[in-house]
Amino acid sequence: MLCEKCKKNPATVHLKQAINGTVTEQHLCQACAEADGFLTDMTWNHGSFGSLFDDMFQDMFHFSAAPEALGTKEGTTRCPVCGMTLEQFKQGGKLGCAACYETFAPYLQPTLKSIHGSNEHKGKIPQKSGGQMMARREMETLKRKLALAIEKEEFEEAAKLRDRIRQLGKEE
Amino acid sequence: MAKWYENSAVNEGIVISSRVRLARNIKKFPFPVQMKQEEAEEVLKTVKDAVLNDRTPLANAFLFRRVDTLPMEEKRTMVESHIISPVLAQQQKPCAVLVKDDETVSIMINEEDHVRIQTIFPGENIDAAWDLADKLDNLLEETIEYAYHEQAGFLTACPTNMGTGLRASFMVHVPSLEKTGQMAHLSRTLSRFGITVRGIYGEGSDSLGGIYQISNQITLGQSEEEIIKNLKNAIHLVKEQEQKARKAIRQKDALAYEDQIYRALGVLAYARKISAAESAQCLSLLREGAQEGLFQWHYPKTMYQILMETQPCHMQQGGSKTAEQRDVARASLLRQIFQH
Repeated sequence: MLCEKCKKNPATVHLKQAINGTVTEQHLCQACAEADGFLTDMTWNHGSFGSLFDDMFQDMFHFSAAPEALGTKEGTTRCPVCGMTLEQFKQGGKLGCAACYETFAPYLQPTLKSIHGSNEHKGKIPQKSGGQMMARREMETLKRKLALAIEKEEFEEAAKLRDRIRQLGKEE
Repeated sequence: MAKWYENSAVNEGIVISSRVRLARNIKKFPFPVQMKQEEAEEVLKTVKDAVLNDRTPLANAFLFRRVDTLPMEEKRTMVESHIISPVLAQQQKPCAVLVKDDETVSIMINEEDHVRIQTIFPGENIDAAWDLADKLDNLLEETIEYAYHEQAGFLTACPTNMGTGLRASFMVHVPSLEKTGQMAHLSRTLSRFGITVRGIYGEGSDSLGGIYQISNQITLGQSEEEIIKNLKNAIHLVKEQEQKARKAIRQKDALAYEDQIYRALGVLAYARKISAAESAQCLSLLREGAQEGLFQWHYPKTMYQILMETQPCHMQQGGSKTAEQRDVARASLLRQIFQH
């Protein structure tokens, strides 16, 4: 995709802006984005924006770089919440906030696989934010057990499992 | 209150201690590397209040210590005692630690992550260490909402810790594996199972007196129980290899084996000045000798406690000293213990 403004360079900066419920999208090259002040004014510095950036603003403002740009124009990928750039992360090896995981996902996913051999958490679930997750995980386990019980023709067990699944479904 | 390193279990086996560390972050704040001064202060307060409140019986057992304002020497002493990590000692932003009176628990605040819960138990006791860390984690979660993602698990500043945020480790004393040059090979073998071998003070540190830390590397894709089970299998292998190496060395030349151990005792009991490295070496031989039944460990402190208390920063306490003055003070301290 070419830059919408200069129509010469490939677009590496993608902006989505919501103003009064109208969403506009812009695809620019690094130079045009900088010229328009998108990269300099919005350094997303926590120092000046900190209090502004509550969840509402984060949802309204979505800022990301195209995955294909990651290898080349790394400086353009910047976390909208804490301001960390991909380059900074690569240098220091530390992410700046929880949202960085999403911002740098295209870069992180393959790395995680090579570090851990897996992309999926199988450990502890926090009680508070994890209530629904726990129910979902239990549901999955029950369904697996049910399939197994049916396969083994253990119908009494299967009936019990079915009832539990139904009950859990209602609770959700 | 007796400290974990005063327990005789620290002296008895190849495993000196078992440690569990949980890395956690608070949802509403950026991670320490990106946080502002005020946010750092707020994190300190949030975590402190979560532990030191009227609802928990723990409050009386914990001491809150602000770390960033302490003199470097004091911070290094805390590192030598495993109360804080080298990273926390270097942290410029507001940071602190909550320490339990027996030093089995320390909760570091604003290290690499907002919260680092650490539990240490004497001897081979990883299940107890995990159980306690798990409970403390639940306690914090009563008032704190963690940064957590269903698929990614607990979100940490470094992606190498994400998922469970769990680092389980055994501190092991393996002088014979070190002597026979087998540590590098063992380390390579273990890494294939997602297990890392590090020096006595963790990442980037050297071994001292034949002491290493063996811990899990993988934190994502396995449950806490699986991680711990895997580590236990690894430690079983390490123990077996160390015992085998010890036996081989002793059988090869029993007289030389005993001689070096008793010489070490002689040095510790009579030296007039001794470096940290030499005393660690001698202490290591003595611990091994006692385990091999050459003599009874009837000294008032465990080997690990003596090793810790003779480290450079511990020796520095009570006024600045030159390296030689420290060596003299160290020798005098050792004589008091070993001339019994």
